Amino acid sequence: MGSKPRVLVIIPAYNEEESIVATVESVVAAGYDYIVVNDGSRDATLAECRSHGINVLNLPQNLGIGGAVQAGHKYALEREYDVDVQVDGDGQHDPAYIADLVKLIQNGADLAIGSRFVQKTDGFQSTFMRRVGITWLSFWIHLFTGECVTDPTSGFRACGRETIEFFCSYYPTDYPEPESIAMVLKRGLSVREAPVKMRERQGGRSSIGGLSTVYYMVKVSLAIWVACWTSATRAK
Amino acid sequence: MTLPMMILAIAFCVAFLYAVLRLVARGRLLLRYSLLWLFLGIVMLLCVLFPNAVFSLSTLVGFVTPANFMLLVGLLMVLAIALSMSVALSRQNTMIKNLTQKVALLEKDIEDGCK
Repeated sequence: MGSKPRVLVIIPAYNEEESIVATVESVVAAGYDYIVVNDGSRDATLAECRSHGINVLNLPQNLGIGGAVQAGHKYALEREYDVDVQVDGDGQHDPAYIADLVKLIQNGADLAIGSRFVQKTDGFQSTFMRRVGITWLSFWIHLFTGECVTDPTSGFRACGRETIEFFCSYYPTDYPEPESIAMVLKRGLSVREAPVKMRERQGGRSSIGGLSTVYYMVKVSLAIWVACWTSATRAK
Repeated sequence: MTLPMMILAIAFCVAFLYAVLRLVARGRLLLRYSLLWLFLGIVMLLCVLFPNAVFSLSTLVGFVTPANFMLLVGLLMVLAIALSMSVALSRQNTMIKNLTQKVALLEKDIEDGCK
């Protein structure tokens, strides 16, 4: 990798008409190439993007966050980017931290995660119950991989070339973040974290909440276990 | 088993096999997904034609009532078919996802090519 890697910011967007333009503008202001992946939004997300001349990859139907982000990885691979960074379309992630994540990749990490918990920051820390869930997933990943990841649900992440290629072939469909970390670790790739502050979402709604939280925890825990079990056979 | 009952059972099995084959012939059911159903139909038919074999097998395995044995075997076969359908569904899910992504990427290429 040369001194200045080509970086693509992937912005998955599902019904983010209120915040997508502001998110894109902040990424552009930070000086990065970007692609918005419109995941079959039913609101005016696509129209907003078109009218503002935003670079958009338009999925003809809703695939869920996993399929949308994977489409972004495929775009990054096709256009030969060295690093891609996932930044959520709801304005939670501050583009100022992208440089830190890219630096981790340049220093040899294969997957860099923007973590709210690696050191105590005063940004948005999520609710108590969510932190309990995050701690559990952290423990669970540690149990099966031996690695410490403090913020496994973070959707603010950067991937190096090898991880991009891997994710183009294998990426979970729903709630992909924790599971994909386990997959990457079992693949023998390295994961590093950088401290970030997150804001509360500016618009749209979280895909997780209420009764589905239980389903989420069970599904993701099981997925991590299965990922650790199957990836062993497909490691290089 | 009484004769009318046997005739009824045979008629049912034959009708079932015919229904499956007709679906295949009309292109409503792919042959690859019909195989398990055809297998089920043939097993049912064999059970009706040779009930004594079923009774001995049931006793051999340790069932007191052959009907329970039949129910269990039937249930297991339906379970296998249901699982195979989930597998087929998952495969299609992945294929549709890949196609959707490909369509979006190609559309993007076309848009960029026009600029």
